[in-house]
Amino acid sequence: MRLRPRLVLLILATMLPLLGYSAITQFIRYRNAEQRAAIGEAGSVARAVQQSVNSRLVALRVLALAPELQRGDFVAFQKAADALIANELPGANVLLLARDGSQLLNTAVPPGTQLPPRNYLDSLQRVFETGQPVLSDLFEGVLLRRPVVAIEVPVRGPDGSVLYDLALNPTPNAFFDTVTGGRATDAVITVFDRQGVTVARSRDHDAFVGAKADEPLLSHLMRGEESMFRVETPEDGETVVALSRVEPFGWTVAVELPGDRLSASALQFVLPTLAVGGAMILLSVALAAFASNRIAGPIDALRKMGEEPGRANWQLLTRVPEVHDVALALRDARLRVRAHTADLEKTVGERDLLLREVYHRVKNNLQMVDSMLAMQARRVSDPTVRDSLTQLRNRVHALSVVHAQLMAATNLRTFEVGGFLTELAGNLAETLSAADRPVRILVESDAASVTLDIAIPLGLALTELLTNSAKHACADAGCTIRVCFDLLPESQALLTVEDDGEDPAAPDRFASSPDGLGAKLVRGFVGQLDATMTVEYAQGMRVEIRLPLPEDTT
Amino acid sequence: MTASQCILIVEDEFLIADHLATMVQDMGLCVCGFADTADEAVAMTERHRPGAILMDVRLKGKKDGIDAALAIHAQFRSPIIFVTGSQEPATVARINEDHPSAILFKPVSFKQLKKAMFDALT
Repeated sequence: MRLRPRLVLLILATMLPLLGYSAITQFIRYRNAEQRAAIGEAGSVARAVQQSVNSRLVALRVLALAPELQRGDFVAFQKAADALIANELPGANVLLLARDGSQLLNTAVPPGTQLPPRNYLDSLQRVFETGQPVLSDLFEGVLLRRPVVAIEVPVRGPDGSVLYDLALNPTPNAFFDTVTGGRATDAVITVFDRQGVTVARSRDHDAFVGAKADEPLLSHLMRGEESMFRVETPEDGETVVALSRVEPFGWTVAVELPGDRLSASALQFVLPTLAVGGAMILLSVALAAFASNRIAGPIDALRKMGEEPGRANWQLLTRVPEVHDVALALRDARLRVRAHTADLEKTVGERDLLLREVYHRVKNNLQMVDSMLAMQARRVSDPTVRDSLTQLRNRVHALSVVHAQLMAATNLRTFEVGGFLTELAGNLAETLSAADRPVRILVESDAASVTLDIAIPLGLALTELLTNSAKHACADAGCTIRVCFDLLPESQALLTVEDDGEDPAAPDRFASSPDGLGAKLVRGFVGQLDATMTVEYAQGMRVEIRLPLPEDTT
Repeated sequence: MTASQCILIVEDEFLIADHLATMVQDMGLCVCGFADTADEAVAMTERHRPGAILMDVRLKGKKDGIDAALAIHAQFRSPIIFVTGSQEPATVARINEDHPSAILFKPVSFKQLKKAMFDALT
């Protein structure tokens, strides 16, 4: 991996978790704060409800002590009550109830009006039993025909026993004001009575009043504890609910916050952090790119310098002192290697030239030997001697061909055996032929390279074999000699020389060449090659020489 | 191939020159001279206007047979048969630039020389 992506990866690996951690922490903290605010809100609404009830309670208690009531003068009491309502509790009405629920008095109607008995007796009974003030649950007002709540206090006789129940029905919006007076939030504030029935609600008040809370909210309400929890509803999704009790009356205030809105606003709260963090990451990545350029730039410059050590303005490429020193060393080393390589190449070139020169000289000398033999042959009249000189010239020529092949070889060491055998055979076919008895030599060869060490004995042996065949098989009317060089497995090769001559002297003609020199030479060269030779006579003579080839030349 | 056409032999080795001369004479042709430097080869060509020139590549002096052949080729029409000991690809390529009549590699056999000579003179 290159430096720049590494640095960028490092930055992302450090900064992303940090940013994520701080964003999540902030998110959670914000949500917790919001939830705590919900509890606070519930508490403050509960206190407002409590206060609202208590203030009415005080007025009601004062009214309960009215002497008209003690005297049983309900008409006069109603006047006093009307005066109090007009002054302090506008819109409310006051009832006086007997133990059996019958209405003795109701300020909503003129005195003396026939009144129906109350059908909601729960709070009434508690007042008579405990002698304590009571806040009722929501019930249907029998006279007013609307959902009402009642604040009820006992009216005691001189002996302290409870004579009546004095009840106050506050105005319908008495509690609605407490739930709407709060701050403007998405929160829905509801006041529930002891049964979990809605008394007041900050949103859709009229639709909800008198309705019982759904589960699981109802269970929480019935538990009667201050708490906070989450509920899932299909309509609203997740909702966070904070509950606070209205002591000592047993009512509950619920503050409901929509969970997704809470998350959304928390997310909005986190957004600036994310934006700042993202900007910082971008800045860091830019810095990393800059730093990696500063580091990798000189290294890259070094590499370029390595490619062109002769470059004059290489100093401009790097300003880092350490890299500068390395660059100097690298350049010097590179220049030394170049000089050294050039020296070596020169030496190798000279060696090649020298070797070619030697091959050339050898070949020239062989040519001179050939020329001298030719001159000598011209001065000899004895055909046997002349023939011997011609054979000698052929042998010298075989050596010349080897050197010619070496000179033409690019590696100055090995050459293709096919070309060598063809050239050798071509020359022999020429010198061995006479006008009336042509010698044709056909050469077939596999592709193989040979060295001087193999080519010289092989060439000389072939020269002897071809000379022998030409002398015996082609003596009368010419002949065709086939030369095959085949590669065999295991680094072996097979040289086959086959003529089609029918020689009456067969099968001993090879062994009994005129002076025996040819046969001696062939055996000698075969031995030198570590080869084996077989001689067969069928149509003509067939000689097979099986020789090992060095591994590196095949 | 007529006897009136003589052959110039450019060769710095006496033995080889003599051998070539013998073979030329055996063909029934005459040798009009021997040269062993490039400059001498050009001078002899100007003097004798040979029917063909047998040209060695390596000669005495700084110039070689190819230099001589180029100079001769520019002025005279004598066909040039290269007789060289060198089978180096570079040398052969240089020789071929001069449109030689033939290239023979040493040692040259009588038949090779006779065929090349026949081609050059007809």
